[in-house]
Amino acid sequence: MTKRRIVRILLYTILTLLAVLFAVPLVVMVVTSIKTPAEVVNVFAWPQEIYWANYIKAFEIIGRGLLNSMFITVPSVVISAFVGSLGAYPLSQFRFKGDYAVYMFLLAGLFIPIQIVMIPLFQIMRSLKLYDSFVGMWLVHTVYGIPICTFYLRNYFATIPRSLLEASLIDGCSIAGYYFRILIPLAKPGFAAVIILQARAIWNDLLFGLTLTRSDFVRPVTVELATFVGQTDVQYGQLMAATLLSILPTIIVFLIFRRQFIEGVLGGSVKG
Amino acid sequence: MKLATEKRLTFSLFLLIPVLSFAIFVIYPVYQSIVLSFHKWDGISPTATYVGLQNYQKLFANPRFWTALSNNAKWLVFSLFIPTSVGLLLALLINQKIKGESIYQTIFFIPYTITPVAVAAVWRWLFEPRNGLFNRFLIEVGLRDHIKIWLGDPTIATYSIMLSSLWWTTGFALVMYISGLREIPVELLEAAEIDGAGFFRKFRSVMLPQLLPSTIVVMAMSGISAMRVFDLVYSLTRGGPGYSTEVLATMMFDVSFNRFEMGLGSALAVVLLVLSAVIILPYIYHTSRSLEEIRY
Amino acid sequence: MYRNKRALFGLVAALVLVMSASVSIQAAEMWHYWLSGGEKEALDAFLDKARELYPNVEFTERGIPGSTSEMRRQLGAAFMANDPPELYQSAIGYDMKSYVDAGRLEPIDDIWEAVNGDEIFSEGLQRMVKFDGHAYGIPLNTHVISHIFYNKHIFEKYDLDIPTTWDEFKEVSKTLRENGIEPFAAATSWTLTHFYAPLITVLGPEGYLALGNGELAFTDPKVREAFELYGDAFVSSYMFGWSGYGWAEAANELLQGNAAMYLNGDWVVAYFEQAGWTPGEDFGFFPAPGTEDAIIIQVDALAAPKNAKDTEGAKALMTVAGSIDGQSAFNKHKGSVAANLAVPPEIYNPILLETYNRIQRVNEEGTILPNQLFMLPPSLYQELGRQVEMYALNPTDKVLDGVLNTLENMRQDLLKENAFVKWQDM
Repeated sequence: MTKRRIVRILLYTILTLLAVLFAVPLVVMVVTSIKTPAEVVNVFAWPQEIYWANYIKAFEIIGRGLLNSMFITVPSVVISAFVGSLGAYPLSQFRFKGDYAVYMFLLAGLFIPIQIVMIPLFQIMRSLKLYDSFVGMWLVHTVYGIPICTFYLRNYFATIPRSLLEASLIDGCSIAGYYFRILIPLAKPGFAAVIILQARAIWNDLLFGLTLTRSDFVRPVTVELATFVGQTDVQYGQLMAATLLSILPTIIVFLIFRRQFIEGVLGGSVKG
Repeated sequence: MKLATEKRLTFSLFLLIPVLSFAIFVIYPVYQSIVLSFHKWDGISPTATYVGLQNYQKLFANPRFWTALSNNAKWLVFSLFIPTSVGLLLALLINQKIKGESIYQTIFFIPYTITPVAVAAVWRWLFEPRNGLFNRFLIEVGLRDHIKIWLGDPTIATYSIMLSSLWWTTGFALVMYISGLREIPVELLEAAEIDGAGFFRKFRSVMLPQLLPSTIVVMAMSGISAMRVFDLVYSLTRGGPGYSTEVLATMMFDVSFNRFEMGLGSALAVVLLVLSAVIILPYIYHTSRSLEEIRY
Repeated sequence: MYRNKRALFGLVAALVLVMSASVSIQAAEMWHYWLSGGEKEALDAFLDKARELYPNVEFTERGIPGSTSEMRRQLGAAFMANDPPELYQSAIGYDMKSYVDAGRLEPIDDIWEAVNGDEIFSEGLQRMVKFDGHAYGIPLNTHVISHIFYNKHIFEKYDLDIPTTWDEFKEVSKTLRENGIEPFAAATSWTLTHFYAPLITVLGPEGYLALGNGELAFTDPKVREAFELYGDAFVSSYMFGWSGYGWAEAANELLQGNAAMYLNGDWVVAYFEQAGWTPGEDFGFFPAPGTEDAIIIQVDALAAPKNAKDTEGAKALMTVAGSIDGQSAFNKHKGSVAANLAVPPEIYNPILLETYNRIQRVNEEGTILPNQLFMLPPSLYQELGRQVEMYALNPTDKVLDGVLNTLENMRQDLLKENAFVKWQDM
C-alpha cells in the first residue's frame, strides 16, 4: 500500500471516530426520548418500541413555548438584520468625523454581559408597557443584536468596491436607492450569515426570556425547557423528548442554509 | 456641494436609528446598573440605599469572588485554545477532499445550534453517577474503579462542564476554519509545494498565517463567551458543589436573586463588564484597523 | 372654579363607588409554586373548598416555577407595576418580614382573630408571622426536616435497631458498610439540614436559636465541636458520590436498596409513595439523634400584598386557609401536617400520623424550631449551606478553619448592618 493510501485510511478512521464521539450525546438523547421509564434506567438497552408518551408529555409542557419562540425569533431576526445593516452602510462607505468612535460605540455591546442590564432593562420595558409582549421581545433582540449585525455587515459591505457606489451615484441613483437596490442584493451571503447567527442566538436566548416574559402566551421554549430541567423529579425520557423538540428548528434552519452560512460567516474579512 | 450634503443627511439618518435605540436600550440600562452598584437594594423595597464603594470592597474581600475569577480564567484559557485547536484539526481533516464532507460538517456543527439549556440537559444525563452513559460505559469495560462523580467531585467538576462546552462550541471554530481554508489562494499552496514543502511546512508557513482572520474571529468570540459563561454552569451545577465551579456570572445571579443583594450583584456585573472589555478591545481595535486597508 | 372641580370629583367618586358596589363577581388570584404531583392536588383541593364556601368569588391561581427567589422576582415586578396578586405563597420569618419592612404587605389582624390564630398556631410559629404586633400571614402546613427515613427491609435484613444516640447511629452505619450498603443517602445542596442535628446536640435548642439571632459566634469552640460531630457521624456515612446526586436521585438510592437511611424533609414521603412504597411497611422514620425533644419544621404560609385589587376575595381565601376545612383539604394531599393544630388527625396516613403525634408531644414538652432559613438573613443562610457542603466534601481541620472564619466574618458584617432579627422578642 502506498504511503498516500495509508494516510487516507488513517484520515477517514480518525474523522469517523471523532464523528461518532460527537454524535454520541445526540444519539443518546434520541434513544432515551423513545424509551419507557423502566427502559431509561439501563442506558445501553435498546427500546422495544417507540414510547410516544414522552413526546406527548413533552409537547404538553413546551408546545406553546415552541410557537412563542417562533413568533419571537422570526421577526426579531429580520428586523435586527435590517437595523444592523442600517448602521453598517454608512460605516462601510463613508468616512466622517468620529466614524471610528461610533463603530466602537456600537461594538461595545459585544462585551456587555446581559446580566448587567437585566434589572434596569426590565424596568424600562415595564414603563413602556412592553413587558411580557412579543413587541417587547422583538425590540430587545433587535437592539441587542445591533453590535453583531453591524460588525458582520460592515465587514461584508466593505468588500464591495466603493467605485460601485460612486458609479451608481453618477448614474443618478440616490444614496438610499443604492442601498436598497444594489447593495442589499449583493450582500446576500453576508445577510445569510447574520440571519443564521441571529436565529441561533435569539432562539437559544434564555436570559431575556426569563426576565422579560411571564405568561404562557409569550414565554419562549428555552425558559420552559429550563423550568422542566430544574424540576425536582426529573423524568429523563420526557426531558430528552422535550429537548429534542426544542432544538429541532435551529437544526433544520442550519441544514437548509449551511452553504450560505459558510460562505458569509467570515464577514468578508478575508477577501481582497 | 449638494451631493455631499445629501450624502451626509441620508447617512446620518441611517446611522441614527441603530445608534439611538442602542443608546436607549443598552447604554442607559448599563449606566443604571453602574449606579445601582453603589447602592443596597433587596428587589422589593421602593427605595435603594446609597453605600458608596462598599459593595466593591465586600466583593474583593470575599474568597468566593476570587474563586469565581480564577474559574473564569480557567475558562478563558480553555475557550481560547481547546475548541479552537480541535476545530482547526477537524477543518484540516475535512478539507482533504473527503467523501461525505457535508455529513461530517453537519455532525460536528449541530451541537453549536443547540441552546445551552438543552446541552446541559443531555450532558447531565450522560454524567449521571449511577445510570449515566459515561460511568455505565466504564463499568461495562471493566474500569469500575475509574468511575467518576463528574459533576459532584469538586476537583473535576469544572473540567466536566468544559467537556460539554467543547462538544457544544467546537462547531463554530470548525466552520470558521473551513471558510478560512477555502479562502487560501491556491497559488500560494502550489508555490510551497513546488519548493518541496511537506504538509507540516505548508501548514506552518502558508496556511496558518492565511488563517489569521479566522483565528481572530474564533478567539474573540471564545474570549467573550468565556467571561460570560453562565448557562452551562448554572444548568449543570449552579456553581457547586461548594463553590468549585462558580464563575462570575453564576455568582452574580446567586447574589442578586437568591440572596437578594441587587447592589452587590450589580457591582459584580460591572466587574464582569470591565474584564470583558479588556479582553475584547484589542481584537476590535485590530479588525477595525485592518479593514481600513481593504476598503480603498 | 374650585367649587366646580370639587363637585366634579365628588360626582366621579360617587359614580365609581356605585359601579364597584354593583359588581358582585370578584376575582382573587393566588401565586404559588406548588407545581408537582401531590402539591398541585393539594392546591386544587384547597381552592375547591374555598369555592364551595364562597361561591360568588372567583378564585384563580398562577404557578411560578422555582421557589421563594423566583416568587420574589415576580412579586418585585408586580409591585413596581402596582399590580400585585391578592395572595401569594410565602415563607415565614425573615423573608416575610422583609416584605413587611418594605411596606408591601397588608396586615391581616381581622382574619387572624376570626380564625382564632392565637389558639390554633404554636407559639414558635406565631412569632414568625407576626411583626410589630400585627399578623401578616396564615401558616398552611408543617413539614418536618429533622427526621431520618429508613429502608425497613434493609434494617430487618441486618437485624438493626433504630439508633437513638450518636454512638448507636455510628454502629448502625458501620454494620451497613460492612455489608456493602451505603448507610446514609445525601444530595448536593441538601446537607445543611443534616448539620442541624449535631448543632442542637452540642448547643441545645437555645444555641440553635442563638445562631438564628446572630448571637452565636461561629468561632465558638462548641460550633467547631458540632461540625466535627457532623463530620464524624454523618459525613463518614454518606453514600459514595453523593455530591453528584439531586435530592430525588438520592431518594432513589433508598428505594433501590443501595442506601439505608435518608435525612430530608418529609416531602419525600409523597415521593416514596408515588414510587410504590407503603409507609410503615417499606419505610419508616426516626428523629435524628439529638432531636428527640426538638423538631425542626418548615412552613408555607399565605400572605396578602398591599394594593391588590380584590381585598374581599383575598380575605375570603385567607379565612379558608386558616380554617379546619381548608387546612384539611390542603394537607391531606400535600403530605404534610397542618399548621392549624386543631385539624383532626384522621386525614393523615400512618407516617404523617406519627409525625403529627410527635409534633403535638414536642409542642407540649420540648421545643419546635424553625428552619434557619426563616431566621437568618438570606445571605448568611445561603452561605452557611454552601460552607457546610464544602466541609462535607472535605472534612478536615484546615477546611473547617476556613469555613468558620468565612462564616464569622459574614456574621460580623451583618451585625454591623443590624441585619439580624431577635426572634424570641417578636
